[in-house]
Amino acid sequence: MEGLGQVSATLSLPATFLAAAPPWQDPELFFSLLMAGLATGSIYGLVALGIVLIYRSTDVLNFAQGEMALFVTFVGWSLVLALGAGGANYWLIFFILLVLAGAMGAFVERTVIRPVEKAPVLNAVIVTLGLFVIFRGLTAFIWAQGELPKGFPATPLGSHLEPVSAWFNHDLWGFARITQHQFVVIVITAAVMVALYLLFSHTKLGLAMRATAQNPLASRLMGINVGRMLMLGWALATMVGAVGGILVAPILSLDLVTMLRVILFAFAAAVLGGLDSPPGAIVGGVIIGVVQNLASTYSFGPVFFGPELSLPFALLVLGLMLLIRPTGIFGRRAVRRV
Amino acid sequence: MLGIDWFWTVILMAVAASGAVRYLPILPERWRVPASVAVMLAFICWMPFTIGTFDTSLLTKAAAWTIVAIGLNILTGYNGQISLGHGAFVLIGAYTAAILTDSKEHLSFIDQAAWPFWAATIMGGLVAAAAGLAVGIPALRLSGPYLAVATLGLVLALPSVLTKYDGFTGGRLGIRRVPKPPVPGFLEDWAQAFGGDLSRDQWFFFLALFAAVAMTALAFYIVRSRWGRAFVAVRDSEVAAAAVGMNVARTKVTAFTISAFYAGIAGAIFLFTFQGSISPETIGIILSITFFTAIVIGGLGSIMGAIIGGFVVVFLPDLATDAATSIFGEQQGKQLWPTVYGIVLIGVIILMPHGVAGFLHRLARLRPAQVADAARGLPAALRSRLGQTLERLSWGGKDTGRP
Amino acid sequence: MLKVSDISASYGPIQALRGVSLEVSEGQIVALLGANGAGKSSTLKVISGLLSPSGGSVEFLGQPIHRRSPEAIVSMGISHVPEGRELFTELAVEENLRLGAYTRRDSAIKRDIQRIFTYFPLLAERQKQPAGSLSGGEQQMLAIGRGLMARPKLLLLDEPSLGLAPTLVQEIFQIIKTINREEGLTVLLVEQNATMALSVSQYGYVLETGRIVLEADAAELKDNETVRRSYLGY
Repeated sequence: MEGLGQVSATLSLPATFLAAAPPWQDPELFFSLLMAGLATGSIYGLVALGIVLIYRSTDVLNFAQGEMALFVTFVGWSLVLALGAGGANYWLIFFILLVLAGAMGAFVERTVIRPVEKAPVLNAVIVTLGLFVIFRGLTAFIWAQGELPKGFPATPLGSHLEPVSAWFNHDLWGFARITQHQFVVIVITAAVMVALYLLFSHTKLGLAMRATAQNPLASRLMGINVGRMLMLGWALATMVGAVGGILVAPILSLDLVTMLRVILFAFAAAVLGGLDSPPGAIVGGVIIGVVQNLASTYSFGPVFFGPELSLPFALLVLGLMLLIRPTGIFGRRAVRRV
Repeated sequence: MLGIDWFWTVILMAVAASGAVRYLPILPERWRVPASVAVMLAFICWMPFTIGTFDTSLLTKAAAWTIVAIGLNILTGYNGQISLGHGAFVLIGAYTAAILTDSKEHLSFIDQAAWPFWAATIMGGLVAAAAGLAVGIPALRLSGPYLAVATLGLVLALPSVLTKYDGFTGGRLGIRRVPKPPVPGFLEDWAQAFGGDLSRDQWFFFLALFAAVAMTALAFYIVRSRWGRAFVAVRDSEVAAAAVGMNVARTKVTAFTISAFYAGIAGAIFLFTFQGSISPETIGIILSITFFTAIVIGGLGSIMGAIIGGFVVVFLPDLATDAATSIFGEQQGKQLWPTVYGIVLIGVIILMPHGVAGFLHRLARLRPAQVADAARGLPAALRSRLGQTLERLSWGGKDTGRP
Repeated sequence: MLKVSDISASYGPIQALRGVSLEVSEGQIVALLGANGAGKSSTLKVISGLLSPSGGSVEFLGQPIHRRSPEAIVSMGISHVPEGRELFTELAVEENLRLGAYTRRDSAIKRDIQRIFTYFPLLAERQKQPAGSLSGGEQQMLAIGRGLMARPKLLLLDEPSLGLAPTLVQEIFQIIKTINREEGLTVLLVEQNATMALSVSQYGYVLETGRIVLEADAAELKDNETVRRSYLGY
């Protein structure tokens, strides 16, 4: 697990490894760190969102979330190789990957999660750990024969090499240090959040999914096909995770360990925001992304964590948060059944 | 080739023999369990003299990991708290033992002389137990998936901390060349008296085995004691336990501390009998999660299950690799072994929801009438019969934590 | 309308029903009485498809339904208001009602919600509140309202009086009677509170440890010596 400390460096800016000037002396740096943290945090949030969606609908912590997303992204790489990544092709591939992810999620729920629904709770954990390992092997088997890491294109909306200011041909304050792709990441994440919000609160299907998550028995009595809702929940979650993978691949480049770095922070984000709160996942992700960036760049008095300690620091934040609110920021207290 | 070699043959013989003694009506009822344990132990003691050095060292590792499994089972199986991060306690135990036995001046700050290995081992357990105490208290606030992620964070964060603060931990490289305990004089003489020879690897194995047996015996005692009953009571219902006057917090923290102690001892044993060095990367997060997986597969709430689990940790990856390479060929097999491993995991847990130990327990309880019943109905309503039989096979009442 | 024939059912090794038969005609309110654990709820669960019977059959409008899934049975026109209400506690009152109409595709859903509010004005006041914040009586009203939203032909009511104050119970039973009269809704009513149940129903069955031991017109049951002593308390 080496190289974890490098995550913040690669995901944020080409930061120096010495403590930087404090915010009041260099506000532009501070602002760009915030924005970069927002971008990183969005990716953590997307993956965390998948985890939360699955947890909310099936009470299962999907440890394989990252590896499934990685698998789909690798498929994307092959498709890019075959079809090219120009404009319309990219979106076609994006769409195909979403469909693939959805199908995978639904399939997994139906085949291996459903049988352990009635079993002791920890069994489902074993299943997702098994899935984690299965997908790792598959990904290595199919794509590790060639050379790694592989490059992956950013969306046609913005390059991952050019800064945002290139759009305006003007050195926008602070924006000079954010790549276009990072900005696109923030926008797409916001779009996903809006889409999901609309789905859950304004559609009959979304209402049925929420109902199933709360009370499957009553849902059956309403005529809701609970099995189908569960599959749908997993499909949606896997799709969201895939988006996260597709967006992070240009930044971290496609390797077998790409999602491993992300998933740890994503879990922290999901727990931080509250495992049954979708907006909490995004909020948690953003908090961790921003804190990570700030902590590895600035020193707090005599203490300088630096990038190597960014993971322990994030976990420390998580730990403290859980002590104050054991079910996360927006999580609901679990009902104590006697 | 799929592991049907001498090593596995001996294991199969051991299992068959001790199983026969346990379940067949050869001995009077009262003697069966101790006799089967004795048979198993006899086989295990024979093994290092008949299988190769490599397999012996694997068994040694299995013995060490069994200790972790038993401790973790006390926490998760008997007390119901999830820990995915027990690897951290193993690491702490190993580091403590390494630091104490190192004779270089700047590392042993306790006193200048190096500690004897058995003292270092116990100290490793105690330091890990202290860490377990420190973790167990905040863990009171968390449960379920939140606790799982928090403990995962523990084993993730520890290596970075050990690397960064390298005052006496040796930083990234860790501590190398830890002195392994030499074969004691009297054992060498003893072996020679039997016309044989005791190699270092065999000695290490017996050392680890001794520790494993001692810790297992301790576990039996704990589980049957008031503490053991308290653990189970709190697991089944904290509210009810509190209502009858149990100190729930103290119980839960004690479970954490005890399981951390086990992990620390195991870490030290692992260090002295197998690894010989320790670095932040030695106990990775995969291994830590594997401990958890192993005890669930082996069977929660059952000491036998934990022992099976210890074996699973060490041998399942190899078995999976063997299977993968024989099906897919050498190169691709090496890539695909995790997939085979995962399929086995999922298959086992779906078919045996209460782990291997739970399944065996049910199997042993089957009455011939039930089996005949199932067979009779087979041609007719196949699926419903099968369903009813499998339902009967599934664990009916609450787990009482019997091994 | 509904014909239950010789139903047996068990929960694992425990046998709950041992050959239960009953009939409900269109427009009737039929009461199913019995002590705790007699199998009343289990009977309803078999009818609505939540529990698979090991023997016997259930026919609704001439069709066998004992092998069908709960979702299919709801679509056929049976609505089950379960014991313990089983509301969606975190969803709003209005959302609970909308979910009741899940299987419907017509456009009269909003109008029906308003109608439920006229039957239960207390619910109208709390439209947007989460169902879990309602009082026991209000929750029962919501559960019944939710069951009605499916515009069922047959309503299965499981112990609506449980845990409610007597005046509230009276109110609810009056509303049931009204709906039965005005809309012709057929009701199969499971109750421990035999007095209340018999006051609104036309026919009654008495269950004891999984078997029907007595069936008669409601008036006769009220007068029946055994029933009076065992279930009515005098």
